[in-house]
Amino acid sequence: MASSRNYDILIKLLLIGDSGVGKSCLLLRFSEDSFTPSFITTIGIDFKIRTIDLDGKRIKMQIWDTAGQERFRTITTAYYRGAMGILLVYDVTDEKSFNNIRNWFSNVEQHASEGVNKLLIGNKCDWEEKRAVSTEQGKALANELGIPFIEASAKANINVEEAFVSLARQIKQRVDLASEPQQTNNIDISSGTKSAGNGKCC
Amino acid sequence: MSVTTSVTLTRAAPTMPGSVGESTDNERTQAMMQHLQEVLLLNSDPISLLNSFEGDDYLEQLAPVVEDAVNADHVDLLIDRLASISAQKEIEVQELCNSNQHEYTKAVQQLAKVKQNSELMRVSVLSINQNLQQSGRVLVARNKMLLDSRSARKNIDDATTALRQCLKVLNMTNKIHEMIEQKKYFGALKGLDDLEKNHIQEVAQFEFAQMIRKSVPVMQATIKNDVIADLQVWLASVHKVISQIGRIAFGVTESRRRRWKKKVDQNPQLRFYKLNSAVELAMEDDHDEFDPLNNDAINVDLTPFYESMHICSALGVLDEFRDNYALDRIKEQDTILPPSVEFTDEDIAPLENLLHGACGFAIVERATVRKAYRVRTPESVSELWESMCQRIAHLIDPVLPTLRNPETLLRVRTLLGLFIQTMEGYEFSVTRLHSYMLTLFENYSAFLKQRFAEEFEQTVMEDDYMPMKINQRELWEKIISISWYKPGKDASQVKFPCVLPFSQVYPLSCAEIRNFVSQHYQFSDEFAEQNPGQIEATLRANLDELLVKVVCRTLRDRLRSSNREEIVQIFINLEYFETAAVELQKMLNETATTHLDEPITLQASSAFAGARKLAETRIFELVNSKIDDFLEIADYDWDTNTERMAPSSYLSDMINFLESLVNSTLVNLPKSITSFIYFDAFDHLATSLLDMLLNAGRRISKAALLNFNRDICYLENFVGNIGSPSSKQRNGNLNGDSMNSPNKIKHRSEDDADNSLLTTFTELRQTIDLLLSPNVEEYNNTEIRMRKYGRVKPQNAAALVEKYVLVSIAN
Repeated sequence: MASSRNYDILIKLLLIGDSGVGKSCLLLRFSEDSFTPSFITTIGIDFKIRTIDLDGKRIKMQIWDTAGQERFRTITTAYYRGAMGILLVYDVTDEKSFNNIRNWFSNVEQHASEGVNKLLIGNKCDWEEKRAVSTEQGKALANELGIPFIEASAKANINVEEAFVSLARQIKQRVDLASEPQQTNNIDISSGTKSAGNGKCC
Repeated sequence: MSVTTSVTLTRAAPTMPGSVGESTDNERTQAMMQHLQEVLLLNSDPISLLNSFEGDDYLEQLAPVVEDAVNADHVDLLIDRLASISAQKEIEVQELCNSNQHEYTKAVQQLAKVKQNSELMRVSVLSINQNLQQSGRVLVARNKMLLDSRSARKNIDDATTALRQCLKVLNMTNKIHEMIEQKKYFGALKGLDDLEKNHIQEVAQFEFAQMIRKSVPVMQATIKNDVIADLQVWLASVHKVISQIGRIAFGVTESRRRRWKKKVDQNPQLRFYKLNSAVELAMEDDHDEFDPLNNDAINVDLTPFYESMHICSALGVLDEFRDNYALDRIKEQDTILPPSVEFTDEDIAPLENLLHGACGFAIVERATVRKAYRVRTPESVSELWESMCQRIAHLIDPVLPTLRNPETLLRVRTLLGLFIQTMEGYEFSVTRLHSYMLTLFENYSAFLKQRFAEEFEQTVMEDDYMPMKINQRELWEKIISISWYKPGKDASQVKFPCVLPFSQVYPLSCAEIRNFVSQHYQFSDEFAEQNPGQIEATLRANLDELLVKVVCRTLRDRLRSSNREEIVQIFINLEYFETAAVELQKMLNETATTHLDEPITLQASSAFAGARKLAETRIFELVNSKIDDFLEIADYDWDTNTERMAPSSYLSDMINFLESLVNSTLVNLPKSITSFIYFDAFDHLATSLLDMLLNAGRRISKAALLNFNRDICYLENFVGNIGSPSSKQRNGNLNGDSMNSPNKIKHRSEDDADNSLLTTFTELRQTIDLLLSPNVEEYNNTEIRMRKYGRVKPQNAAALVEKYVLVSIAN
């Protein structure tokens, strides 16, 4: 195969949610299996890559991490369109971040590609004594939004792997389904981003 | 008479034989008659005759006459003659008796009478004699009595004298005892001496005198013991007040310090003179020298000490006294300085008490040495003092690590400082204490350093690595005042909220550094006069170490993080830390009180510069790793026949990402750094893409090459626009949130970097151009090759031409 590719499927995910809910930590836990307590806020946008095996396929996951701060909204919103899956993260100890999920969800509805897979994550579920949002509340919201829900903890390494992998699985199923009739070997999963590009082509 | 007679007869005798004849006979008869008469003393007086018949001598004398008569035959004649003489004599006696009868009787009568009288007289003499005998005996007895009385009287006189002397001695002895009881030891001792040397000699014969004499050493010993005991009592009484003496002395020094400080404040010229200097002493208002042993609060009478000393001197046991006293001082020192002193951050009173005690002790020593140098030599006092200083240091040392608050060390310093100044005033050598002060300072400094390290660690941990957003002017002003950051604008022009380039770790550290420095000066303040150079050197070394080993090293360690935000912010912070180090260096040079051979240079500024370089490298690495991440999802089908009209999505993603990176995460970096990041990133990208092309399997389709070319064109286009105003404009828009970008530093190479960005793609471009050239043979033309394909490596050219050109010709 005269290709530079070393994976079967590329899945682009996007982490959104209020500042401080632990998006970067979830990503760090998933990509590097590490956790460092810090007060560092993501500025702009970042991404990490991790390859997993799923049903015999090598899935390369490019997971974009966005700044939760309002001032970076312009930059981060540009990445919605290219995402195949979006993880809406809130902090179970911070009710405001939970309440804001509706806003984030409407942003997704507004900017993301149609049919994008979504997952609601309640992070910091290990911090029971500080909990402000019950699991039931999370479930209820997820039901309301019609998306799957999971509670996780990047710090305690609870459900992090599950969250990302389950979302990847859903996306893979969707993509498999969409590509089946065409029987294409190489799925151009990044087609969605082309419109978001700058079009600066020679 | 008889001899004469004999001679006469003898002479007559010889004549007799010669008278032979008539005449001769005659004559011989005549001579014989005469001779006979002579022998018979006939012609002598009766008394002599009487006497001459008293013996038989005449018979012997008659013998020769008879003999001569015999010889001469004249015996008849002689008998006749003798008969005639006798008859004649008879007649004479008859006559005589007849005439003296009466007288004789009278005489006899008288004689009887005399005899009777003499008898009477004899009786009377005998009686007288007897009487005399009797009275003589009485006299003798009387005389004997007289003599006895006389001797008795002499004895009595002697005894009286002796008794008087004895009484005197006894009185003296009693008086001495009394004096001892009354503690008039000196008088007692003098009396004892007088007694022994003078008075006791006079009564030496008495046993009691010997007893007294024998008791003199005992009494002297008693005096000595009593004196020593009194001295002990005195010492005990002094011991009770030494802490108070010390405390009062401290107080005096403190008020002197206050007065001096006031004077120095009024007249800064005086700041060169320290407390206890000649100038200070001369200007001291309180000219009456303060007597630490005799004042309103305390009164220590040294008399018992002097008395003891003088008495021991008089007793000739001064050496013993000196040794005892010295031993006692050592014991006293042990009491004042226990084996350990326990003071804490909360309570340093035990140390204070200890120093008060030591001070009081030393002051008493000084007072005694001044007047009793025979007993307390300056050498012994200073020897004890030195050992005391050493012990004080040894007592404090183990406590230091238990302290948690540098303030406590400051308080210890204040106490020691007062101690030093007080003792200096009493002419004690304080060199050792000064050097201990330095040790204390080093401890304090290490302490501060440790605390700084702990606090800094915390500050770094809690930092958000975000440029500080300031909402209030007060906070802004505070940060400007404590940090070494120079805002580009006047305070009045700053609008709030504003953003400062550094994260909060910088101003917080500045505050901690300033605190660190001021705490050092606080320590050295007023007390460091002995060795300001050393204090400053310690501060300098510690500050430098702190900046290099704590601040810089911690920040360097943080650079291991793979968090871009953190590294970028550390990079920016380091620039300000570097400035801070330079400013601190300047400050140290300006405030140096001692002459410096060469200006102070802190290693910290270069350390920060080094760390900054490392941070820069880390940023490059992180950006390049993102490039690699993108390249990992690159998807080139070298066989494809489909030509794409748009660049690869991974590349457009990458460009978008790089742009947003530069405009968000890296926005606060100096433009030069951004340019270098781009340069490094594109250089890395170009190299990787060329590698990708070179490793593109056995053949490359035309469409694939065109698709690849499209990607490269896309990149070239982007790179070409980076330095353009439109690009900057765009950047500016994206930059909107970050407000006034604080980095004003412009590097000369900035524009060069922009211009040279395109050169990163030259090799790749020339390679693609060669492959796309209708005449590949051109490469063999040196001139054309040099002009158009100068960067293409021959082996790459050969390999690629084979893969692409030959394959396409074959097709």
